[in-house]
Amino acid sequence: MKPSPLLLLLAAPVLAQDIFTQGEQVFQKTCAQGYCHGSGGTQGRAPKLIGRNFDTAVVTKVVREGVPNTGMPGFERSLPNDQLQAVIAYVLRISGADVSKMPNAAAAVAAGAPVRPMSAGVRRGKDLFFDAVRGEKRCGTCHALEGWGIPIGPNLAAGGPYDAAALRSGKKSSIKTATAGRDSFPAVVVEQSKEQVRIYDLTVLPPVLRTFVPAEIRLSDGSSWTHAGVTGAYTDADLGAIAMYLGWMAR
Amino acid sequence: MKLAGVLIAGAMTLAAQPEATRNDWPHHFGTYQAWRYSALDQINATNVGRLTPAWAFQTGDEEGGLQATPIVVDGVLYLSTSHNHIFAIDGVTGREIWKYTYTLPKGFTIFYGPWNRGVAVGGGRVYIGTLDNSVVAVDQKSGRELWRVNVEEANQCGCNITGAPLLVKDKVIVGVTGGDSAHRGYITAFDAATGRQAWRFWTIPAPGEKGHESWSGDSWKFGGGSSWMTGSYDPELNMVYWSVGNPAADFYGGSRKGDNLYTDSVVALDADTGKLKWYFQQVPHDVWDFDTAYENILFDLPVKGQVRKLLLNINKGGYTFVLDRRNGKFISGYPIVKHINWIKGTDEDGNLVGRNDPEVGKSTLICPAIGGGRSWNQAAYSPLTKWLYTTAIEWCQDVVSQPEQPREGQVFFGGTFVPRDPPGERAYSHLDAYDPVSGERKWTYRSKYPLLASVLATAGNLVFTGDPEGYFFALDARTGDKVWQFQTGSGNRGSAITYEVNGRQYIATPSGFGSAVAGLVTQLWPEAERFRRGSTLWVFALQERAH
Repeated sequence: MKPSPLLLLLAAPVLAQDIFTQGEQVFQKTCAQGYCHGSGGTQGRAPKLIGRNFDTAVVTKVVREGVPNTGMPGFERSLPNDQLQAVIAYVLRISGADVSKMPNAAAAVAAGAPVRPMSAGVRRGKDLFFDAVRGEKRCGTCHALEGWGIPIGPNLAAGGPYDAAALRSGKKSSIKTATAGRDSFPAVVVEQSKEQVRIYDLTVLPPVLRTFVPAEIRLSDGSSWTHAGVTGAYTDADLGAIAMYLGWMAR
Repeated sequence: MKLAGVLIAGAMTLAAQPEATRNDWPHHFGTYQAWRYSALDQINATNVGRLTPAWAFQTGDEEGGLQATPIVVDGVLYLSTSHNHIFAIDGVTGREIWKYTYTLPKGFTIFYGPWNRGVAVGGGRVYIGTLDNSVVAVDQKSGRELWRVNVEEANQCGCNITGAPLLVKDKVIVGVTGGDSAHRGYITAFDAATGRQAWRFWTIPAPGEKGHESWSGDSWKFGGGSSWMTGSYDPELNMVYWSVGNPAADFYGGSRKGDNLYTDSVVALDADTGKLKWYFQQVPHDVWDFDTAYENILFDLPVKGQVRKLLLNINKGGYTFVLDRRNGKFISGYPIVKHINWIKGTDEDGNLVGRNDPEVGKSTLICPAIGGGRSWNQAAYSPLTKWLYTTAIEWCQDVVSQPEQPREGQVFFGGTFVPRDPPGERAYSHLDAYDPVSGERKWTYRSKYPLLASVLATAGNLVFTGDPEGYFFALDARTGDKVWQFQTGSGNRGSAITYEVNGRQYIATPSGFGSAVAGLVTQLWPEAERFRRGSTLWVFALQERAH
């Protein structure tokens, strides 16, 4: 059995007080916040944590990965590893688990996954890709990467390398023209069956996933849609930075 | 003939009173004017003792309780539940006509809880906002999905939609949560037929826009300003009135110096373009999480002898603001809670007086508590008594403010709080009748536990609401005397409505305790942890007499 990071830490009880203090600070800032677990885990909207006698593996998994389809997010991506370990230790302690031989943060960091470095240029590209200030006119409206964005257009972690010009022109071969009544618009086909036709309507951003019965809609090849028409909020320099980010993603 | 005379008189009253509902409950707050008042009077203060269950509908999804307001059109109820199910239900028999379930992306984490507060119905479609921040239209007859559009990707924004959409002419308008996250809020309108985005109003102005100067540095980018409840609409002025929530971080304002427009404001938008017509900011530079998030009640009442077009809004800080809805001019203000210490009051222009800001690293007792001097559960206005009926909660909290850096889409709260009893007494709740303009209290009904369900007023001189113990009850609208109650099996956190089919009046109420604030209740009332969960729509009518 693969030992949990926490079990690797039993050898260093000297730092135990530190990790609980740090864990409490992280908890107060992150988990007690808003309407969640309440100050000290007393219960808010989210469940009470005090006295629950949690198992180490369960707390580790839940804090790292969250609980799908509930309000509990995973903190693996948003908290540095030492803070993750500290908050896990703190939650275990308030839940009443035996923490007499609890972990030390340095070993916890060593046990965690390494973080791949991101240069300033790549960072800038990523920020632009998901730039919320641009509203619906950001890349993430139609492309998903790293768990953000909506996967309507192609996966840009593949298919590169890209440069600014390639990102401006994009690919439009898969985009069709849909005609429903008197309305004709560019469309990405998601599903075409005897029962229904589901297409993204690209008339304006954000795209609309529309469902038709087959008799209501006609699809033909080609369209007037252009990628340049939806990337107008970005300069060529912006697209260059985004290309760097996509290159980093592809590696 | 006498009966015909009564019917004609009734029809005339109806024609003169578009703010009242009758057979249908067409909009979230009853009508666009948000009175939550019905002209139906078959059930009244005299015969309400004969009110008895007609049918009950179990939704089967109890997580987060049942917080919705059902919509009724032509005898069919449209009810949304937690996890974005929609049911169409026969209003007479309780039979399920169809069910729609929105499919969430795989592995998706829900922010701000799984609940949903209602749908909008019109033009042959039913609209819902979803847990992953999409808007969906389904066919009103079949429940078949017609379109869905993602407003902003939810994993990034840490936001979603729990409030009911507002359908105005050819557009469906939705708000967004995210006020306690690092996020910048908005109100967005979509073409009702196609789902194509029509307009967006950002609740925080961008650089170069008027009001942007009320934010220091880059704080505007993640400054909150959610729009998590539903707007009202004045068809004559063509203005949509929407309430904007708190700035983020909630308790720490040091990194967002300035008034932080348009957080904690009522905004009036042109319904066709989304352009700002006027705004009134209730709480400049909020550091208490006292959203201006709730319903805007529109009525025309005399002020100093002259009838004015008014708008009434109660905020989370337990303070009521009455405005002129043509221009946003302040008319009057008054508290609905006894224990209020975050301000001393307002001056004659509606400016806050005597602020009590929490301090960094030091505990400050703030009243009311963050759950609100009142929560989002709505008030009612009756044109018979000309009184406002609203719930209120007497509770406080120790607040510690702390600096915090925003992380996009993550919780951005800037402090902690611990609920406390108010000075000198146990926390409690009440439902009161007020003169809406002067704030003069007419009567009060006291409750041990926080009243977290909306109020319904009817022409039968009744007001209905429910409590966390599961009692759904009726008070005489004139006196506040309890005249009827029924144990629904779980706490009440939704919004009761009334409708009529085939000459029979029905009262419907959601039962099923949940929500963020319901979670806080256990901190002051530990026994509330034992209150049973549920998700049931109860429907009542007068017992039919044997002939």
